[in-house]
Amino acid sequence: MAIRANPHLIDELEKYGAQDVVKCYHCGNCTATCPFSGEVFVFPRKSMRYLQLGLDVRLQGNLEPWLCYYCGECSEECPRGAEPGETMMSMRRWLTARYDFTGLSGLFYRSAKAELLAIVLVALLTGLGLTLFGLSQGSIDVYDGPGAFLPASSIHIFDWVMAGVLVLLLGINCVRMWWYTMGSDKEVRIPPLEYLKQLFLVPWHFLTQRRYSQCDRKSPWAIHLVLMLSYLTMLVLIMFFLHRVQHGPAIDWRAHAFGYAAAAGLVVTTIYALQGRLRKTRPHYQHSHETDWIFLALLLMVSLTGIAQHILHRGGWETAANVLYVVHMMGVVPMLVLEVPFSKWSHMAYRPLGMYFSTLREKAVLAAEDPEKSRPAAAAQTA
Amino acid sequence: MNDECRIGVYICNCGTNIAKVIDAGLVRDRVADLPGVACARTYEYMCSNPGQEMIAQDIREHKLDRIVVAACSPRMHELTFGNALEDAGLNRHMLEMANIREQCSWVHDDGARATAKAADLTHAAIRRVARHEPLEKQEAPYTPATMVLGGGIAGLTVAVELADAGQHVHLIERESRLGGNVGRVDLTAPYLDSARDILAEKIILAESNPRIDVQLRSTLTDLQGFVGNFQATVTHQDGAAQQLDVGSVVVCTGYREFDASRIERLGYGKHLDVITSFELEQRLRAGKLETADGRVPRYVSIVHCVGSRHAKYHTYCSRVCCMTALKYGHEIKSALPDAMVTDLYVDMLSFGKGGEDLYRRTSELKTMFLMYEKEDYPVVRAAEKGDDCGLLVQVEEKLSGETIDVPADLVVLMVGMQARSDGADVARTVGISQDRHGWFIESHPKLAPVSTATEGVFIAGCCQSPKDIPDSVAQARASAAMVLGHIARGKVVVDARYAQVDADLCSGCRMCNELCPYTAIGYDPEEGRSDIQSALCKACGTCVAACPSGAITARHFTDEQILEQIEGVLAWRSSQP
Amino acid sequence: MLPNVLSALEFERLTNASGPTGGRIVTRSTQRNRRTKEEEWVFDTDAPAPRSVAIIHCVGSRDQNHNPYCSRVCCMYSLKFAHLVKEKLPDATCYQFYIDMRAFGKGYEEFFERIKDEGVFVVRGRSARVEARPDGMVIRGEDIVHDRIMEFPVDMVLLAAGLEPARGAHRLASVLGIRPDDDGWFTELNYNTDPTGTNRGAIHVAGVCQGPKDIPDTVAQASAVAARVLGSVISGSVRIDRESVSSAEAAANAARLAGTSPREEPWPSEPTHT
Repeated sequence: MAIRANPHLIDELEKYGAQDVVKCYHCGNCTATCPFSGEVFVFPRKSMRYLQLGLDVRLQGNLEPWLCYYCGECSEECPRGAEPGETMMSMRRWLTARYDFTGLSGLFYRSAKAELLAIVLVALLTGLGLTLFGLSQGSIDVYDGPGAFLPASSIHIFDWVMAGVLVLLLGINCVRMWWYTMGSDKEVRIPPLEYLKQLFLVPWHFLTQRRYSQCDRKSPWAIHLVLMLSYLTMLVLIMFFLHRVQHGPAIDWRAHAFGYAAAAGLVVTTIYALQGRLRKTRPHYQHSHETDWIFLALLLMVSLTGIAQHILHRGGWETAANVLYVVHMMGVVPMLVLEVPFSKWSHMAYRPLGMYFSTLREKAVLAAEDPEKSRPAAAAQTA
Repeated sequence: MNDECRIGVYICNCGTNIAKVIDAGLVRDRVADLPGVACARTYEYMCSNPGQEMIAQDIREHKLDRIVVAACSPRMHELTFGNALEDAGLNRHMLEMANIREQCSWVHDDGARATAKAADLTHAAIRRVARHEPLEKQEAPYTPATMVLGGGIAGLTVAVELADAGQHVHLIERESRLGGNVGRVDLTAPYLDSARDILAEKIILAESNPRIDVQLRSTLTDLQGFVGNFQATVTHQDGAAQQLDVGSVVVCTGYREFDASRIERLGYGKHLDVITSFELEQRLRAGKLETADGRVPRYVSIVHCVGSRHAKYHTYCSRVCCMTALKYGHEIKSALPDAMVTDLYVDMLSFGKGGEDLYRRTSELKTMFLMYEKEDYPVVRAAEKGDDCGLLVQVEEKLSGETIDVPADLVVLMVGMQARSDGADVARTVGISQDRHGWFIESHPKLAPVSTATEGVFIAGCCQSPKDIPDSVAQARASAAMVLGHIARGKVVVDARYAQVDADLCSGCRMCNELCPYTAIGYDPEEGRSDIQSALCKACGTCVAACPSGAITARHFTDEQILEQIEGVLAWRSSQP
Repeated sequence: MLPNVLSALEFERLTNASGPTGGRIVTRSTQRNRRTKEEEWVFDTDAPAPRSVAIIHCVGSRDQNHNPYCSRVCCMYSLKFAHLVKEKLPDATCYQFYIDMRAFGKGYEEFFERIKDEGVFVVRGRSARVEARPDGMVIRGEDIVHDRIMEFPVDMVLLAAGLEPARGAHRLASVLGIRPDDDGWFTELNYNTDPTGTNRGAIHVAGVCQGPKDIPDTVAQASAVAARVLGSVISGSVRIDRESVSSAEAAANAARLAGTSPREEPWPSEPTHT
């Protein structure tokens, strides 16, 4: 069965950041250089090929972009300047948009204006909503305790509802990811038992990003790990210990120690990433899409306002603290609502799933193949 | 008689070419004691300067009067060693070469028997050379006028180059206009220069120069004579013939394109929108790029290697098509900015100056490049009604491993170059050969790309093999250089080896007259004897063998010499089982 | 860095009958120089022959990190090397890692087919890594057509390194007053109609200095220059520098193109500088 080439796909991907892929003349350097390219998953050239030819269906089912960590060695070796690293990054953005059933993700990736508009809209709604709520049942001068403007218990409920909705959205997208990459593949069938056996891989990769640590350069993995663990710590504190951290003015060190460490982690790594992207210090900082800046900006804004409102509260300026709390939420809510199901943060699900699915697939493909065939040198034949 | 000779024998190793099969030392040992041999040596590369020096030195020291070199074919280095003898004061014909390379080491694997054969061949050469006589060379005048066959870019370049040097040129063109195949082209690769401008400049120069005699609608129908002294017969379409005296002929007859209808799956002739590269050029020149039913094409596919690099059609690469296809990418995009161009290629041969750059720039125009396996042509079929394109091209795409359907409104076939169908006629008329593809054969593929086996006849441009404009121009000017070299010397040296008729023995039967392939033998009715024009004679020996009176002798190929050679080969019979 | 990674010229020398081993292809061995006490690499005639040879195309060419142009001759000489390897070491495996096989000349494509028939593995996919491992060298490349990574040991790697302008070419250009292009090759007067002329009328270029090319094309260009020189000798006139065309010259050119005879200058005893 022949697949139709779609010359328009490249135009679409350009908006996601793939401007140089047209230059690829298929020398194979990138794939040969890539430390992760192996027997079953051969990349990045093959993925770039699908893109050049406009094979939407193939690209949609491609797990390879999630196996790439943008060490950038491929881009360094590329004799044509086709930027395989950035192309893979663009594919991750495109796949994120594809997995998303609402279409919003695609909209936000293609149009920074749309994303900013959405952020502003959600921020205003949040601001308005919280202010009205706060005023309706509390006083703006009280941060904590009876009459609190934004009591922990209410915020707690609000957080959990929001989390539920976002997880649901992301979950649906994850199922779509499975369908595109694994479920719809009639050639490789994986028994449900296998899925269960390897399920531990998902939390394992989520927590350690082990694969990232296998790149030649270790510092990107380390920085990302700190960023992620800081965020995770903050999430746990807010979702489960909000009351304890919000309650003041005394500082509950058992909880706050984590909080401060996490805040520091967030701020330091975010600023590191920002200056890295501005000064293009690393291969994966050479190209920055608008979504990259928006993400970092939101993270920084949220971290700083979070710290600020905490300081203000502990310092006794409760009104200011409340105001800043609202502002903080006006950053948190859009950030979560946009980033988790529709934008960069979705990779926290897609990557571990990518590891999980690819392991399952690799096992299935290698088991099905004749052991002789999988040895390249012996079977090397002319083109 | 042999004892009066002082023969120097040299056996070459030719690096490993001879040495890997033949033990030169053994050969030397066997022949060193033969009567007449004053010294016998082996050496790595006899044709090198030290090798030649060695011969010269031995001639002086050992007072040698004849030389045997057992090495490559005389076609390679007879001239070289002849010169060496002359420089050392000997007549160049006191030399005999034994071919122990092309006719021995290159065709045998059995070292022992090959060595024995080499010894036999050397022995034969030694016995023969003892019978050699010094021969004096002849000179003939050189007619400075030149004939150029073909008025394309190569022919025009030769003509203008020679005319600029003050020489007369007859430019003979078969068609009714000058310009050849470049005249059918719009722009050139890689810099998108106008072919029209390139040609116009040359055509104006040719037509305006009084030293260039342009004859359109004419062909060369006969060529007699030899280098420096040719008589050419040029016939016009209307039948009028003209005799011209020229010193050299430069063949620039060019090429024709492959007939794409021979490849069914490409659909040429079946679908109106499958066109050849030349047909595209026509449309580009006219400034109108449309499908057969007048629509503006959205998708254009270009298929490379049509008729080239294929065992069934032509095995060679046509050299210019990849660059031309890339050029089309640019031309099409500039004429139709919304069109999508796809290139279906096997290997991208953008090798020349500016070539890689053109390739990169073409990819930046978002041209899609698909690679198919050599000889596995894509298949063109009509698209379904309602599809957004007119045709679909199916390719087994190798860079992705998928079978791809490429949408196309226009499919351009990069038809390869092939030798013209009148190539055989031209070759026969001027006395040159064609290779198995029909391209004319040069003297030496590396060192003499424009000379041929016939002295005074040169080839330039695509008639020798596919090439682009700069390379055609370079070859054309190279031919002009050869001609100008002759003109500068003013005379030609005629080979001293030719057949002679002994008038006393000749009975006037005239059997030899008709046999001579070089029409070198005439008849003097007054004397009642045949006589041979030495300048035309190639000493092939046909007349010598045929003469019933035994009246003809070939200088340097006497019966005595040949019989000695036979004796030498059979003397030891060492290579026989 | 690795003793058995050879450049093209090093391999040429090795296989040459007048080379260090008389033409035998052997692996390079390390030995300690008794005098300098340093380790050096030598070709020892009795060293073992390589069991596998990999030839990598486009080293330093077609590469924006080095030279973006194609060096034109490397595909063919790489095939030649493969042929030599197979001829001298019939049991060795030989690989060609390439991007596009540029066999464009007369007889070249047929030679390529012959190489394939001789059992050389021709792999589309330029290898990117040669690594030293404890038990030898390992080469890693993508075999694009067969969609897999090839990683296997090799005894010898030949690099088809590209061509660059000769050292001092820039200086020569400035001395002569001719222009090199961005890659350092001398610029011809007109790509199509005058591939050997330069902006200075009586100075010509031929061969690789104008751009990479093989022997037949070099010989043709050289002969083309000879034509100009001979033409000048015979006719007694020479073309003057093109750049310094005065308005009078321009008018003469126009008149010439309109049909009058070409203008000639007497050949001066000193070169004309304008």
